[in-house]
Amino acid sequence: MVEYKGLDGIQENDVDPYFGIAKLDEQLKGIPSKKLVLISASPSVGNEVFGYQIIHKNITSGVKVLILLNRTSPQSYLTEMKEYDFPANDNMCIIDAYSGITGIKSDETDHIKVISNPYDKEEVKTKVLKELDNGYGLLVVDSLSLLADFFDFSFAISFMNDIKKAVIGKDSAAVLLFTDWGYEKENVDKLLSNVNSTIEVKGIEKRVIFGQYFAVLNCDWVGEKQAFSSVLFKAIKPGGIKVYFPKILVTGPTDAGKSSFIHSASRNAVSVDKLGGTIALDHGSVDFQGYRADLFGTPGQERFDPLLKMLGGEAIGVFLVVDSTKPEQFPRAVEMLRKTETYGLPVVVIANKADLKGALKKEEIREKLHLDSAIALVQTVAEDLSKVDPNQPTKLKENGITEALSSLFKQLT
Amino acid sequence: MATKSEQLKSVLQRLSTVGGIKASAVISANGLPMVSLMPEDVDPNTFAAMLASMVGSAETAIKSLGAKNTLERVVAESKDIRVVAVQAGVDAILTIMIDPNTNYGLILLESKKASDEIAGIMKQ
Repeated sequence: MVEYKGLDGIQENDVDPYFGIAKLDEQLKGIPSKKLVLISASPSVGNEVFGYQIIHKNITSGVKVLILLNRTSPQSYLTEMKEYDFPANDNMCIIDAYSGITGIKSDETDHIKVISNPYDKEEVKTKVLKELDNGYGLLVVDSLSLLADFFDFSFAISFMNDIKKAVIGKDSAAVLLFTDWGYEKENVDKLLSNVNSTIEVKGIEKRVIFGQYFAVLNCDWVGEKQAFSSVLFKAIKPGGIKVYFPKILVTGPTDAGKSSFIHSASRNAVSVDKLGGTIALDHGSVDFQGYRADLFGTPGQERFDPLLKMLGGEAIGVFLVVDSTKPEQFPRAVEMLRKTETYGLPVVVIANKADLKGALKKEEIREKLHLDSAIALVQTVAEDLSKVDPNQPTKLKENGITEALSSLFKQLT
Repeated sequence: MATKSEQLKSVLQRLSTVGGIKASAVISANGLPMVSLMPEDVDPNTFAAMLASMVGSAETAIKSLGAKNTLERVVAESKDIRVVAVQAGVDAILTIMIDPNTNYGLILLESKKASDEIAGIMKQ
């Protein structure tokens, strides 16, 4: 969970800072030095987990990170990070601009520097800028909006400009956490115009999807002016920010291997089974390379068809599982796509039991299912054929599962 | 104005003051959790999926018997837990987990009221 590699295999241990968050690193290719990133959240949505995760990603890959903290005490900050499974290490140093306000004395250590009078703008400013001299790859400010509230907005803007100069001079980079509590638009625009990239974090309530999303509003170092899509996410303890797909349907004919696929792909699958056949649904949560998805599996037998429409509702992608040895079931597979009302959604076809006697080749399956060449087809096989029990979901080999998941997730983002 | 999820949450919070109601959630008719007040060790995603399939199956079963009206609620009971799922409009289902040794009548009444409110919020 700690390690992150993008679907395109972004290298670990790079010198430049990275976000450590799926999709952001793929779209922005990390945080180049001399750049400022503003993570701007609406009040109902927390952005602090972005801070934890960015810090953790960088301190574990050898980037020194300085944190200006005025939101909470260093102790509770570190405790909270730990709850997300992001332990601190020696690469991290906190400037504590909080304890002085509460009156609780904080002791200075190698990794915690204390601002004695947090009411003094100048001390806050000079201490941060001076500490940056000690060779940090990244500065994280948690939070810029609290600085604006505590002093005034013009200080936040001027401080940000000082940080910008320092970061450019020292080949460092900065991430600023900001919550928009309804400040004057003119002021906020000034902030936005001075950073190199703004990432927006907001809540979404669309029909029955209640969640949170992030989106890259702009970024001046990505060459082609591509449109950045917004992505749903979940902050999970432990694990941190995961790009989230609330509903992915797994469907296909009887005994093709839908339950086996769900159980092999997820960490906590639940099935409603009687004598080996799914009778209502399978459900499992998948954690995969910074992504989180909830899989909903349908029963295959025709007598359960009245349930299919309910199971397919609000799905955003489909795994269609077929048995490679049973082409006679292929029309039924296509019919199930129709009955779940998911025809036309991004789909990955899983040709299971590809190693059994009589299994059709990929091209034959494509032809018989009338698949467009753009649709991905992945073959899967049982991990150990001797262990296949008709009354239990079979464990499938990991490489097929991985290929199927990354193929669908790529289509969905 | 309060967001939909805040409004739904306040309905659940009010329900939780009724004696015997241990946990509650609003889920979508197709099995996604919307808001929940549940113990931390319960996975709301799995719970929502299972509950929605219960309601969907019950609806299909009762229709096949010739029921003329829509399904009102599904109740699942064990000795220590009782779960009630109440339809709240077309899109949503209110589910509550209760202690079976409490005033069931009052809880049904309150949950009916709450489900009507939820249906109204979802229509906004």
